[in-house]
Amino acid sequence: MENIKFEQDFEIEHLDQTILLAKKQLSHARLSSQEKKEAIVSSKKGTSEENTRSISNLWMSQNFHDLVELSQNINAISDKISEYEMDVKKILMLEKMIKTPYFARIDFKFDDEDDFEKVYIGVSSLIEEKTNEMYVYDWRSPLASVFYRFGIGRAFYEAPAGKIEGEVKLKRQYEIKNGKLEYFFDADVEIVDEFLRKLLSQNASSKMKSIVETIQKEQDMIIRDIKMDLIMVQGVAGSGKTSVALHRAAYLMYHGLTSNLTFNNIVIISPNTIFEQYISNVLPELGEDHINSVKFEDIIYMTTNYNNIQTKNQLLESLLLPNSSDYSNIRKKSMEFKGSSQFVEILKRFIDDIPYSFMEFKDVYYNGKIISKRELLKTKVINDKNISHLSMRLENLEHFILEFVHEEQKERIIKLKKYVAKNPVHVFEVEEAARMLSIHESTDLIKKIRQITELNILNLYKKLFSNKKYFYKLAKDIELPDCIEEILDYTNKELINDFLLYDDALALAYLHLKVHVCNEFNDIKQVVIDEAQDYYPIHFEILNLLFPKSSRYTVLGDINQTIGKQVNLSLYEQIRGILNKKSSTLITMEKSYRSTNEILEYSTRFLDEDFKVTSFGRNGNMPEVYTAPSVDALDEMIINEINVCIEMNYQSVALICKTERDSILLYERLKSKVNIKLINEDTEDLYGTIVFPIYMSKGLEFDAVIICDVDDGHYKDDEDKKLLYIASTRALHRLNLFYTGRISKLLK
Amino acid sequence: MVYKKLVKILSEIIGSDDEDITPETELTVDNGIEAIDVAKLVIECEQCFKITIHDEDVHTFKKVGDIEEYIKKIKSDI
Repeated sequence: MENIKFEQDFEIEHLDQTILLAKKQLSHARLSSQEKKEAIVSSKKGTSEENTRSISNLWMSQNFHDLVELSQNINAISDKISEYEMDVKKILMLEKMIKTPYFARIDFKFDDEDDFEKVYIGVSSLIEEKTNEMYVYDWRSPLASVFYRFGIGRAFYEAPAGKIEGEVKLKRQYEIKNGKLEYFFDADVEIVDEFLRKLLSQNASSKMKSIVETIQKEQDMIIRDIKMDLIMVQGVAGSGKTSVALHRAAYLMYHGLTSNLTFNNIVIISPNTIFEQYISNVLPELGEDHINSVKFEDIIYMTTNYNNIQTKNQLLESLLLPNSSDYSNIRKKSMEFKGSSQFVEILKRFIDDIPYSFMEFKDVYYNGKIISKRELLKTKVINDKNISHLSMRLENLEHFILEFVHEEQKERIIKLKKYVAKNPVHVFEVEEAARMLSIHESTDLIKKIRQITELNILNLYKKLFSNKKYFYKLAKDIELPDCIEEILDYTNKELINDFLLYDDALALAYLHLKVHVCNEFNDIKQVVIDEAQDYYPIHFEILNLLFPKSSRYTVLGDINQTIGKQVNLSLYEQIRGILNKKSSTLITMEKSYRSTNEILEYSTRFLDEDFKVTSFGRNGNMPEVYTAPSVDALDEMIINEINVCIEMNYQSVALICKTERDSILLYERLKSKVNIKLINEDTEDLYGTIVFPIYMSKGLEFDAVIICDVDDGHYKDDEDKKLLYIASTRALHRLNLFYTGRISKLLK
Repeated sequence: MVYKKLVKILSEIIGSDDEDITPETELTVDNGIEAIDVAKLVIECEQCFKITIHDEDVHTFKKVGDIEEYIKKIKSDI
């Protein structure tokens, strides 16, 4: 008993000291930043006053010394500005530290020492500058990894100098809020879960909470594994795999794979904007700056320069609506085919064939003679095999032709001058008139040349579908789906419109990347892909072309949460094959941290096999299914449920419908009776009560979830089952389902 | 340097003041610049800056700034 009191007093004292240090450093930082700001302003003023005259002198007198002095002044100013910016960062970090300086402690004894050191671990480090004493270690530092990796007993970590071995005597975790020690306890493996339980029994905020403190061993290993070129994670709903990816990005940025890793070097590919905004809190919280976050649609816009494109969500919406099943059938089959490796192979062959079948090489005339014969041009393009990108070969071809033109140009101008001189019906001088004519000619010439050397990729793509014989010739020996004729017809028809369907847009992006050189992402070192189960082989082929071969990938997915296609674990084999990295691994995360036991149990009925999902031991209410005799009654019940949730103090309540259209209808009915928000792709925050379709909810979590339409009209088949799995696994504490009409057979 | 000389050459050709010409000034008839003036400009620039301007590139010069960039690029590639 006394021991606990003693420890408590000690920890409170230690906390106060740490915060005191942080506060001291903060006020120093604020002062120094203020001083620097003033210094910058006065330096800038000084420089401009002294040197406005001097600048004109420099040009005249070429006074080297003045120039040097000027440049030194400017350098000094930009140095001051960088220092100032670093100070601002430091200030923000210290302000955070004062609220929550650390969350864990280990007592570690290095093998070559006698005593145990108290190592406090927090979101960033805190050093007493005079004595160099480490008050707090950054969670990403090598020593801190011991906390995650080991229990009490022998332990080690990797430092730049080599492997450091030692012993752990104590593992303690803290909950510190606003500078106050709420509680702490000593952890071994079991009780860590207890801590997690405590944390999760609170309500989720609309932004995903940073779970730095709660990273479990397996997650930590994924985060810190810097050697693997490709890490794939199959993680069930609520396993924290997305958090893991973000933490990995932060960790890798912190350490750097090469000495030059900056924040620009990591790209996260995430499915929609809501998701991006939702996680925007986590990274600053971890002490990092922004990471490049990109939707796949952005990649398509960027590579094709074409904006009128169907988004993935639009495609999903069109597939989920109760259309004629013919329509969604052909759309699905088309997407599946055009996303497949088979189609990618066809596109590859197509590009190789372009110079043979689709380019019209013509003789080039200049100065009255042929300076380039068409056979030569064709041969040159075909033989330029060292250059993989067709556009580069065509650029070379253009230069090749122009070289001949330039050689002839003098002769040509002489000829033109003679012509002009002979026809004196002009007011201009001979040389100028001749030049003007030459410019005119050359302009025509280059336009003719560009007809050969510039490709319109969209037009070429259309040709692929307008000529079935050609298509089949190209696809020889490739396995085609049974409904290929239908797909060809359908695509050919759709391509007449300006609006490109999602699957065609992807193909276009692929073609662009194969034809043109793309340097946009040359310094990317890490690529993180979330919701990988929703992507097709063509997506990964595109990424392969977009990012450097040396970049490392972290791929996250859950095969149970696909929408619009069926997928099993072989997905990861496919991905491995396409990305073709030297070292790769697949990790499965089966522990779900998000929902209560009851909700988790309930959601597994929507999974096909006995897919292993272990829950986390939190208990709550059993999800219930409620029926209403009419739409009005249904609305009343839903409103009732919303009010119950609000009474129970849930911060985020999600009304989930199958499609966006359903969401809009529901919203319209309820908006005058209760305070709710309709969510679309561009919505910023997810507090309060919101309505949206299932496919927009992926990866997000809410205190309470209300599934509004579980009748048999809405949910019938296996794909709908998956939707219900996704929807029910969004809930942290409370889940209920409502319908009117006949109950879906999936719930029976 | 390049810009100043360029402006001087152009203003002499079309008979305007140096100040009336900016990098954004378009090489069009509206601004008093005809095809023959462009030809004159090209010839003068070649002499003044000691470079060769390829005739097939001339149609890409939409404004004064474009020529400036072109000349600078050639000079830096030499």
